[in-house]
Amino acid sequence: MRNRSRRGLAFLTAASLLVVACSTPAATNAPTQAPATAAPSDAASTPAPAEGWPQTGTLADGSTFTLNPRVADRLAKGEPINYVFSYGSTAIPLFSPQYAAGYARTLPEAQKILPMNGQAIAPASAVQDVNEQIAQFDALFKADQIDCLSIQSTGTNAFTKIVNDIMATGIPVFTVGVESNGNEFTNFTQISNKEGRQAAGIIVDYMKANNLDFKVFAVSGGDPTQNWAQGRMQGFIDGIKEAIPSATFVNDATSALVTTYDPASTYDAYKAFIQGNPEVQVIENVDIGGEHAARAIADSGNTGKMFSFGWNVSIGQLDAIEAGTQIVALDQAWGDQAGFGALGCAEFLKNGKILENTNALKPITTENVVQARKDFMAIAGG
Amino acid sequence: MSDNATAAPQAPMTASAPPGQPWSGRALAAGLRIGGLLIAILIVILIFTVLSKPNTFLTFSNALGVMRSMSTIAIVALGLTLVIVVGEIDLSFGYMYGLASILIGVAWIVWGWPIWAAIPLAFVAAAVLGSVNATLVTLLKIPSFIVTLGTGQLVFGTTLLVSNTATLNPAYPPVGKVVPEGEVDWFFGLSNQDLPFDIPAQAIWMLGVAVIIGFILSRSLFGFRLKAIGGNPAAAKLARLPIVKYKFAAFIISASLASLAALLDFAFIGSVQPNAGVSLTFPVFAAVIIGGASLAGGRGTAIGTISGALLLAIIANGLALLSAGSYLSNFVSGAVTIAAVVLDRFTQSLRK
Amino acid sequence: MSAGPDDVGLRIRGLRKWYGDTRALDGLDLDARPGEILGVAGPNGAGKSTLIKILAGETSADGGDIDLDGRAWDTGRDRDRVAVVHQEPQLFPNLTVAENLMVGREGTRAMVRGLDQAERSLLSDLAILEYADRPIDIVPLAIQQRVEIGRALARDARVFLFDEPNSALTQEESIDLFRRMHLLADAGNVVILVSHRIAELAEHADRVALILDGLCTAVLEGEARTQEGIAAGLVTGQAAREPEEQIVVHLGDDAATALRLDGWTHDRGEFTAIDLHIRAGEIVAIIGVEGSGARELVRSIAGFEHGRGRIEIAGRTGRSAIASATSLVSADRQTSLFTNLTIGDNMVSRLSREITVSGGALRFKRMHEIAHALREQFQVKAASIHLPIHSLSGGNQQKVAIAAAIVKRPRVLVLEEPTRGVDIGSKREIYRLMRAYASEGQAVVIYCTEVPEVFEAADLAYVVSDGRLSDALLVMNFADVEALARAVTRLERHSGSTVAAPAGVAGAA
Repeated sequence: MRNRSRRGLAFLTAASLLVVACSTPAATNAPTQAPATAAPSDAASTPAPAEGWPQTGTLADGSTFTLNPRVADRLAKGEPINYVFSYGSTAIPLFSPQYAAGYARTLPEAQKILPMNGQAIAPASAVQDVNEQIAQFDALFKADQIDCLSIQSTGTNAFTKIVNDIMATGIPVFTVGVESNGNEFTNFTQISNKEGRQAAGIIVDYMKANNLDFKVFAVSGGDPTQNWAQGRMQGFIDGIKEAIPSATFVNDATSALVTTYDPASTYDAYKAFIQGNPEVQVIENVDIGGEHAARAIADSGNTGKMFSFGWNVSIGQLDAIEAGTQIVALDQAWGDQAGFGALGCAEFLKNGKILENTNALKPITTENVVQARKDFMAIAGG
Repeated sequence: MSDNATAAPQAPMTASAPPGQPWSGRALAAGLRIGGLLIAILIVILIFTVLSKPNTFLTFSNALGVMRSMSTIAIVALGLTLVIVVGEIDLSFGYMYGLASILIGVAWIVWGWPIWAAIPLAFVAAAVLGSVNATLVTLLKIPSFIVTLGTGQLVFGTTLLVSNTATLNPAYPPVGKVVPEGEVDWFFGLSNQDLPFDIPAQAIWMLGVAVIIGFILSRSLFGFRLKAIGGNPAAAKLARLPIVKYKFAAFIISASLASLAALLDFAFIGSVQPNAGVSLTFPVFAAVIIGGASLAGGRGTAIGTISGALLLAIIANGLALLSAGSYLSNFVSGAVTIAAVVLDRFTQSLRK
Repeated sequence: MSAGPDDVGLRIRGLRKWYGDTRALDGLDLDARPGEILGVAGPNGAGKSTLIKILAGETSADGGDIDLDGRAWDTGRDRDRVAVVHQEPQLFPNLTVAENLMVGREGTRAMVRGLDQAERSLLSDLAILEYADRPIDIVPLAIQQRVEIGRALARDARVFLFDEPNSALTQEESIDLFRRMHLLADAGNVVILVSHRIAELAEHADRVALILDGLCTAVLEGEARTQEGIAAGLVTGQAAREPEEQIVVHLGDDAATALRLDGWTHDRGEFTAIDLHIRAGEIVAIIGVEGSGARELVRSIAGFEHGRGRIEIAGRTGRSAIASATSLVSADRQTSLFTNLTIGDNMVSRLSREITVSGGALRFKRMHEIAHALREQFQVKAASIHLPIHSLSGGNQQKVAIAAAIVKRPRVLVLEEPTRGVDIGSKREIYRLMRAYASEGQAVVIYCTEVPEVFEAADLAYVVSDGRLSDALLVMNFADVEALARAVTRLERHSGSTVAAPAGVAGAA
């Protein structure tokens, strides 16, 4: 259960475009986690103060928000509103089941606050397609089937316009998953650069706690060209260099090792990389491939000399953490992202309260790996 | 029919090659075609050796890594070669790979079937897919490009449905399911064996498949007729070759080998996920075409396909070893594919 | 392009071309002057086809010079100087007739243009204007050939090559074609006609060059340019061949029936109610022009057209009879041979049990033996059976195609235009082989368009016109080809076209 603090700040950041393209030869482009943008921004214009919400108020771009009459009418009569959650895909392993589970978890809680009918929709393709996703919820919107909307934004600028258009008709919108700078009330997401720095801090702590001396590092990912991947790498690099001035990186964010999302190909790539860079000590994988790095480390006889870490939760990473080769798995709490919208809608429409972005990474190390495994099996065991 | 020469019996046989020497001309032609490819491989090896740190790329242990990674591509590509030789195209093999691994995973781990029943399920699915492809192509006469594009999507949908988008690991079955440890050990052993010199087990599988497909293509009536059918379908009809039967066989074999590759990768990695295999489409296709098979049909060799798979695996290995980054990796893959084909055409024209 | 003062025409000196070890052209010298039709005659394998391919820019010479109008001509690069009508029409199967006519001359405007007046009248003269919007791949072969002729005529080239252009045309259409060729020549172009029809060469060519063994051995003009002269010049150096004695195949009614058709009717009405009875040992010719139903009838015996009714072959009936006991060699060599396979592979391509061990593995030694034996028997001029099939000349390719069908020992061997575009020597060999095959107790059915072929090859002849079968003609009852031709003509009951009758006896020594 998450705790919500009372600061009414929405993070609006300058976004760079997130490319959600078709498959390339070297990698399937299935961004398996919520993308985030590269550079943090301090631009923070907030919605107007609490009085007037939910009926009316000023939005981020200065325009006035007036709650849609249909919705206002339902609220007045005490009828349930229609809440819709749109996310990127139902066909991405690990990601899709966790998102679906997160949505299902918070809906009953939200319904206790405000009566609502909930619906979660997503395209069924293996690759997140912005246009397909928009077409889905736009159809419902035009049919007046949406009273409150939460969108897992998979491409920053691509969703901004539709968000603004919908909000202009007085329908509240929240975005989760990727940084977005439209008028939405809350953008509940990680900042990828900060994630990278947080990871750097964890690695440094681990190094000190275990009396190790890390000097040589490397970065990698299934599709390093993604903005969130870039952010995680660059944040990590900067964080490490500040903490360990003599650290060297075998590659950087522009020449990161590409591992694809295919398990066997990922393993092969790590095996080759280790072969070519035997002096590397810590390998960052900005996605789920970290477990294959751990296996490649073991197969090449470098256990105890090389370490890896990665994002999100998978059985292989949990195994590697228990074995000691993987230092940490950073859970970005997909479930929290997916579940945010229902609560956000309920609080806003009932109490005029705008929830803030409290998405935080949850590091999984040897200390909490057992519980993490239980939680994971409950959701994604299929 | 009599066993004698069917010609005028009196004419002495003037042999232009010593008796007992099989089609030496054809072997030579194939050799020269491979020659261009081997030159390309050597050039690529040279380039990577120069660019990498000393004693990293050109080592035995790295070669073992290449062997494992080329195995998957090679096994699937050998199946695709048969389809291309007979004059058709199969774009559904990547999705078949995904379905096969999921079927084994779900049947074994979720439904509780014994492993020796779960594995054949994947091959039954392959036979079904191959038959569907062949039926649409031969009976409804729809171009195989479109047919397999469509059936691939159907298969993918089936995969998602069966798997519920979950990843499965036999060592950690979902709550309430049990997988016998003996079966898990045996299964992982399919691709993880302690072989001399640490040779990856999958490479042995690849060699086995290569030998069989090679035999089919070069020394069997089936392969001979596949080439005839692919080379000139009209003449094949006149010659009353069993075109429909052979296309069924080709599509079924292609799907089955994709299933085999999926099975072996599952055993190697230890887990499955539904979207595996789609990224195989380019390297497998490239391996077959680089290897000398003609998209028009009628030409193709096992050794050529293996060489193509080897070239692509070496490139992927080198790029990862050097951590070349996304842009360079894609660029190099595409450029080398084109260059290999151009080099191959060049050596062919030198022959004339 | 009309001739100017420097236009001395085509000059070829020392042209050389090798295919593997075979010398297709061995230092050929030839002149083709503007304003004349130069005929080119010679057996297949002599180098004519190679010469055509080089002039058309489809292959390159290995040595020698080609000058056009006093300047060196690179045939591979400057292809717009030459227009070719091929032996087998080379058109664009995915386009319509009109589009095929226009390919290459569509103009530079962005819009697709229609036929202009000149093109329309050209198509109309060739009697194919009604086909203008039809896709070319469904149009009959004769029409395709005329489209290719039209393409050549519509081009503004300097050199016109006609390679067996009228093999699928009627006599009237041939006459019209020659008229156009004369017009081209009169306009000052270089016109070259390659043909096996000696009568036509004698009549229409101003000079006739004889090509043998890769060299031009003689150029006949004036008085020497007669049919006899040409024929004599061609057989010089070859073994003299007598017209085959026609073996009387009157085996009486006890002779085994090889093929029996009762009430045999075509699915789409091309022929109706055919009753036919062929005995073992007979060579039967079915004659008829395009559209008469003769071709379809012959193809239906092998199952490549759909017939209904009763068919009985060697004791079996219906489709299983056709599948097991017949083998077809089609008129179009493109559909008979596998271009991606070697000569030897093509020869054994229809075999199965004969070339495998149980289990499906090929017996290379056996394939080898069979192919070599066939090469001897059919006298296929190839340096090695391992060469690709396209290295052979047209006549030799035809022999390979027939060999591939014969080696399966079908009870009824069905040949569709067995010697189309084949030289005299090869023709004779093919007839000899047909006879040898028939005398083993099999039957041979051929579809013919030329009476001389019927005269030389067949025992019995039937004429098909308007889908109906005539009574049989017993070939040995006719003293000479003209008599047979007259009888055939009488049996044709349609207006207009007749089967090409010889102006003399083609090919007689």
